[in-house]
Amino acid sequence: MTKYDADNLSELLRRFFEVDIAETMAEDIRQADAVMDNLPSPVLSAEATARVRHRLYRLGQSPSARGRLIHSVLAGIAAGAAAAAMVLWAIAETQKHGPSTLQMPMAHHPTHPVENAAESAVPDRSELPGFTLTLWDDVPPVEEDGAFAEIKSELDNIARWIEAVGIMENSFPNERVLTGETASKTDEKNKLTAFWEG
Amino acid sequence: MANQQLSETFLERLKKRENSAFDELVDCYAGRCYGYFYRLCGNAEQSEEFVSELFVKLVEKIDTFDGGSFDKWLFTVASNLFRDHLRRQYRYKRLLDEAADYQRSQIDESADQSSHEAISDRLQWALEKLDTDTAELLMLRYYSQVSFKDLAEMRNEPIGTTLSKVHRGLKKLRFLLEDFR
Repeated sequence: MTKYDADNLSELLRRFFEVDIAETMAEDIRQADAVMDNLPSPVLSAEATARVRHRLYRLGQSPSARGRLIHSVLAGIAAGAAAAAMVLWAIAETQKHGPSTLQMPMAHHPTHPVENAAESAVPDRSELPGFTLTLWDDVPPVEEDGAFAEIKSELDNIARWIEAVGIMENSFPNERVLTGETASKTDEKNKLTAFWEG
Repeated sequence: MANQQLSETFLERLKKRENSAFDELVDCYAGRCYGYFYRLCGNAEQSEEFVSELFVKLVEKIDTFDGGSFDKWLFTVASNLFRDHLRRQYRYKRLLDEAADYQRSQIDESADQSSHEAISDRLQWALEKLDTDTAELLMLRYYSQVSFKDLAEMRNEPIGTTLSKVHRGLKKLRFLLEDFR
């Protein structure tokens, strides 16, 4: 018990207790330590020690918390890069094959206006907010900094590009095509609508 | 109780999770930690699990070691591990109180059997007569071999309080050992 001696027990106890009490306490502690030193201590078996070692070796092979963090960050970056590549690929494909390949089954074809609004829950194109991308028309003028003006000009460019290629005009399929209706079915539906409306 | 010294590069190697550092950790501390846990819980299998759990925690938390006494840090983690176990056991006992009587009697029977196994020597018997906090303090001092100053810091109490508790505990333990038949 070399470290216990380093405490200099008697001196340490005298700092907190009366001298005679400190001496008695020091003697009690020394005697008890001696009794405990003479008792056998439990021993970890060789098999158990090997099991503990094996568990630590396995831990050493697995990545640390920092390693796991780095791994997850890299995985996130890779996923982001993949998503960006997909978007770029889609844009490139759109430009290569023209806008007609875009399918946006959200609105009616302008050449086939819906005669009865109750027929379809799909809103008319003109009802969709911001559909014409005239975002800045109703906004009062504000002071523009460089970044703000740049974003605005980018959005204007996109709006002009969409108008130029007529992406919206040509990409919406006929409603009948979307729902798979034939001409006879449409006639039948119109007759039924007229009947219910009197 | 041999007290091997750690090599200078031990901590660096442990941070890199090198097998040689694990070996050194086991060689230096497995025996002392096992003794500490065994004296407190009296069960060989559980003590082995404690030692294993402790070493895994040490490796995982090695970055939080601030460079003071490694023994003090290690036994602080060991002490916290044992206290957590006691808390879980306390909650478990409370759950048992709410359980059906036949379940309780079954578990009590198995607990009696394990305590009979545990009282294999007179120190174990004497330690079970002490309250848990005193027994833990005495075993922490004996197996960690840290100074009273460090011991008081580990337990977040004034050094005079630790001295008094150790003295009272050891005195009682010595009487119990002398009375053992």
